[in-house]
Amino acid sequence: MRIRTRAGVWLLYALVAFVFVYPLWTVVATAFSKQQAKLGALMNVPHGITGANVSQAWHLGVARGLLNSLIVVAVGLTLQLTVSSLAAYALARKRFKGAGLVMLAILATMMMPEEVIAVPLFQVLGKIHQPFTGGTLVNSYGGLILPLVGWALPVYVLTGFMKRVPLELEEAARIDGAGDFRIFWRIVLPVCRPALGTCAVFGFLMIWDQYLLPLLVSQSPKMDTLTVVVTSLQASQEQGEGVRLAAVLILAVPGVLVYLALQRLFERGLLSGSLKG
Amino acid sequence: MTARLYRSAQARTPATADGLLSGRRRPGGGPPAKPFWRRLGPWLYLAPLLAFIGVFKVWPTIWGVYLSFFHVRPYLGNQYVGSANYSKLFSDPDLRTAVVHTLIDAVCAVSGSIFVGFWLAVLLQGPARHIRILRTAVFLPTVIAMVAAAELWTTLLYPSQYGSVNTLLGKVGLGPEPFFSSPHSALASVILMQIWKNAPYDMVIFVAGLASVDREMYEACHIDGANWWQRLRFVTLPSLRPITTIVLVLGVIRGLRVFTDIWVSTNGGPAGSSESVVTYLYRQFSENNDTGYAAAIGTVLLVVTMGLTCLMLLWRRRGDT
Amino acid sequence: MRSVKPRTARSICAAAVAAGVAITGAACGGSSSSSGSNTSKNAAAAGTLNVWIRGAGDSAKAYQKIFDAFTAQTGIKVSIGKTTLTDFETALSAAASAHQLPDMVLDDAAQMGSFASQGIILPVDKSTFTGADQLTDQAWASATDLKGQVYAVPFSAQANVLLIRKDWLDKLRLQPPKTWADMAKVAQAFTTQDPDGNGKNDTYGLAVPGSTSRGYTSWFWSSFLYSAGGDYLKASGGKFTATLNTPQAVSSVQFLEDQVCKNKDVQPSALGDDTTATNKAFETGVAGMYLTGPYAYATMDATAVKGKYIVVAPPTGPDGTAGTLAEGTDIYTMADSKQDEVTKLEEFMVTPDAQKIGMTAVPSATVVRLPVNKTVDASAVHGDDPRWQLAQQVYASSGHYEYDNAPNWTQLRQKMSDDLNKLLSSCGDVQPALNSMNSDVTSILKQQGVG
Repeated sequence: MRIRTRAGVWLLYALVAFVFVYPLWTVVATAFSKQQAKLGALMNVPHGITGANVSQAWHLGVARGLLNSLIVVAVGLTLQLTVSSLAAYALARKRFKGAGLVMLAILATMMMPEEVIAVPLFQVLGKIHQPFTGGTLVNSYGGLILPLVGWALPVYVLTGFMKRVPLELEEAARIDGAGDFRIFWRIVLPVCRPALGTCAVFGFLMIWDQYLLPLLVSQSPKMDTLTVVVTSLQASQEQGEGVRLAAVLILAVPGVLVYLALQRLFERGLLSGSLKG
Repeated sequence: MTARLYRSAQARTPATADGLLSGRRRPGGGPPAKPFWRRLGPWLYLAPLLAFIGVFKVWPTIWGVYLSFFHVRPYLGNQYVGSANYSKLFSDPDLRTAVVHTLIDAVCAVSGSIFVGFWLAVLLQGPARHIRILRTAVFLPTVIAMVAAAELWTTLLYPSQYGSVNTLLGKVGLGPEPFFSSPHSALASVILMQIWKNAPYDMVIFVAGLASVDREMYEACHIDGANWWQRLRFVTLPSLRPITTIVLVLGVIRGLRVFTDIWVSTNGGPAGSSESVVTYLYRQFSENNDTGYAAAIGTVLLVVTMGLTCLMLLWRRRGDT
Repeated sequence: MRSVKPRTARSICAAAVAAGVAITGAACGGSSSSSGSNTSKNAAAAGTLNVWIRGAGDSAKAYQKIFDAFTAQTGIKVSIGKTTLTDFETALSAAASAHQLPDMVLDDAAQMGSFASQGIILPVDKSTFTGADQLTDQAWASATDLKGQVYAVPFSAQANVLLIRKDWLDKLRLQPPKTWADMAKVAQAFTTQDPDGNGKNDTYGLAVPGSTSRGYTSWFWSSFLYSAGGDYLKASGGKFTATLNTPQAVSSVQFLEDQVCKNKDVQPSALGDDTTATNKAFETGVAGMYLTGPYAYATMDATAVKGKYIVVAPPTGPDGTAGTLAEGTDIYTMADSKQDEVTKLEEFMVTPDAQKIGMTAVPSATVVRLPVNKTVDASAVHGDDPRWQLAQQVYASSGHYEYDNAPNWTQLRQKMSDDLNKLLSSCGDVQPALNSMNSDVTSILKQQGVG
């Protein structure tokens, strides 16, 4: 009886792994397969190993797209975390008139369907000029990055987290003569590492996933991000399945790496931030 | 436009904001009057965030509402049309179909993810090493970009008998099914893809929820001789009900704006059979060049979403007291 | 909650004000312009023509060669901007809405009426256009609106021909089809008689791009409609009348429906496939016949199907009519552009030299399919390839353009595709479906002001 139950459980494990993980493996197998897959077919094992698909995809704009996506996500995420933790510090640790309302306003922007405002947003980008070049934010890194900075999610997670940082820590530092910003930077932020980890994972995925914004903002191959390149490759006629899936693979890998690297922080912050906050 | 992952994450967090709204304050009364610079302090910390939100969220929203009253013709001059775009919206049969699809999609995908996520959590809870590794692996679909997931699924569900899923079906004597390429199954295929991508996220939420169920309750059950199913039915499920409700309701509200999932997998087709409100909006914009009408649809969606969110918050606060 | 709402509004206002202050102060260096009407080109690209291309993969390389030749000759620099097949018009509409249009756009001829009715393209003065007389009348006609105003410069033309697997025909001892009836017979044989000899029942007769995306369903049907002797619309006096419920239209849809529903000899994913997926169905030996443009030669010859197929004229309809879909790529001069330089580039792009570069410089991307320039012989340029000669003949003798000059042909095509796709996937009655399609189209034409 007991053995039968255990076997049943392992069978379920296998089924779950098959449904959720196996499809991802087939992308890897097909992308590295020497023999081209038949239309719509994915491979269980690569038939002969080759890097040709990856290198062909690389030369069809994936390299530039990857570079752009990395730039956008690096700068965007840094700005997003900075701006959010500053705001969260004020909301969690300061008493001032209107704090609750500011939070509600930020909450309101979270439910705002951003796809819906993409077109007016694009027009707004066309009205904002850059300080030095004089060009607008259209077709620039600024246009790809700045709209993603003000995001409510990290503000919530961090605010919730900072509220639980013991007050004594802060007061001790204040008695030692530390200034406001110093307390924020040296005392509060380090304690918030798990929450920052959560926010970094969410922020990374949110920025990495952008499709509509770069589609509109980028107006030259030099500015295309990886998602735009991948969807464009899908429609192009010359490439085989292998090349397309190689591009998909390159698009998928960074998210997986970031998640694996920050997994501990991510889950700890997630559970403490969203469930108990 | 962005991952369902963080959408669902967002959906779960307003609990945090709630505390703030209900007027809870940190302990320790403040001094009655503060110097001006101390009062300014918090706003300095908030200013960068508010600036970004103001310019890239609030301004475009107001601009969009403004455009909805015009027949927008960038090079011929906009024509003010009053509420014409709005009256068109309420009598547009294609939009009505899109609304129905969107509701079906939101409800089915969210409740399907919760259902699958719950059973995944039941199966994969616990600290054992092999379970943790499997849990990490199962979580991967949620961290790959939606565009990548859609490309993967259009290939997996390829309608010829060479498609991976159809090959499997063929082995048990079924199919080939058309999946994305038939009006009868396109929306269902989108939902299937969304459940695959979102269920692991719900799993993580439920794993945490299960861990927080009162141990004593379980022990009491054990003494009473309750079996596995009774424990689940009478202890676990009731204690997970609040979190499930929030996940469901906010997930559905978020589901109203589904776009990228559909745009890159079926493009709303075939024959509009998987058209959602937002993909329909973009069709008005890019194929029919009717920016004003698209803006009107967007405005109504915005109002509905905000309204539902307010109702939800109100209802939650009722529940708390 | 009720007491919170007005305060919420106030705080949102506060946020907006704070934001406004911050942005003028810091983010944009105080040079933010509030009027939407001024065009702002990037300073770095001031003297350069910015060209957007609806295309992907290698086609940008082919255009680059033409532009390089132009720059060498005139000194005017050209930079390639947005280049994509997916969502090209979405990006273009957005650019137009923010007055950020490029100088020139290369896109399907079918966009002409739509661009013109939005006022985002400038008319072309044929009388002063150098080399205008070297272009075919057929091509010019496709770039002319209802009132006789020319709105684009044709750059490339094509007409659909039938690609068919020679090895499959030989194996089953069949002849290339000349009529619809032949075609149905061959399709049936390809589907049921295992022409690839692998012992599996995994082949189909016809490769059909039946997806509704970009209106492919209707686009593909065009050739059948024309060879049945039918047409979409009738134009007279600046107005259009829909002619979609005629017996000719019915017979052409019935033929397609028979293949999809009764004989089941099209690839199973047909109604969801765009041209890319359909190309692959032909390339990988899923389907054995494919009615498509001559640009597919290069695509097909780069795959395993090279040398295994032949090209024939499209089969004739029930009453012997030869008709096929003709289409093209047009060059559009965008509003607010550097018009003189753009015109120079356009004049260059239709010269025999530039057309030849477009035909052969990048073998995997024949951006000029059939030359619009009368003095260029397609088959000679392609090393006496008879397939190109055939394509040129088919284009000249039986090619019909769609109504590119309707104020928004793409909207009409999309509607017809949706209706047609619905009919084909439900296998319903043709006549009532076409009656309702006809009234759908009539009402859209009224909306567009030409009904």
